[in-house]
Amino acid sequence: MRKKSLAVICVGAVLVTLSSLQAQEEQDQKRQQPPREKRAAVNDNAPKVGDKAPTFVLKSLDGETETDLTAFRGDKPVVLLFGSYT
Amino acid sequence: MEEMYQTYKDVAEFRLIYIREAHAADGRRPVKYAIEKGINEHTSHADRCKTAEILLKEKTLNIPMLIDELDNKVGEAYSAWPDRVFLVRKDGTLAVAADRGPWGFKPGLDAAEEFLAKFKKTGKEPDTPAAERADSDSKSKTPDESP
Repeated sequence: MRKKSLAVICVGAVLVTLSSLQAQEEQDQKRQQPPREKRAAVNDNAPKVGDKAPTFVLKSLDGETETDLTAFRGDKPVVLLFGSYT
Repeated sequence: MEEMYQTYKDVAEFRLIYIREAHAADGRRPVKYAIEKGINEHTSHADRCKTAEILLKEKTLNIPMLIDELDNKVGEAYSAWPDRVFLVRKDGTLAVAADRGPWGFKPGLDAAEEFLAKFKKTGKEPDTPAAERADSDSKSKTPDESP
């Protein structure tokens, strides 16, 4: 009877340890994943390195000057910084 | 951003493209300062220009700015919302195409700066590292996990 109890306790302890290890592993996996927005960003349809940059013609802030991206080609590299105030 | 512009404006063109607000007061995830300043989703081109002016003034930016149309056509072509960095080579192909949003912006600036530093020093556009090309290719093959 005593041996049986000991065996039950041992099995219980093993199960608790396994479950705790699994929970830890899940937590580690979650920690390694990038945030949700980041994952979405990685898989969007943006042009990629090596692709032709989409052409555009846009006006400057004063509304006077139009800039055509194709006008720069062959001259200088162009850095495009997209953003807003917020 | 302004520092990079001042350092490399003689060897590269820079354009800041003002797109739709990321966290407008009346948007899905407003930020406190947008609410305080009453910066809402733009309802007209003039409205967008007005907010763009605030940005230039407050951040003391001298980078030439272009304003995306209200249909957000250019922003969408580059999938640039809420913010994003690209670097276009002289032949019109992309040497830098950073990830979208705040996680990608700083690494994008760093990648652009690295490219421009080499370009300024040697006069030649550096090749895109093979690892980066592979990374870019793998991104396009990854199944969509968007929300």
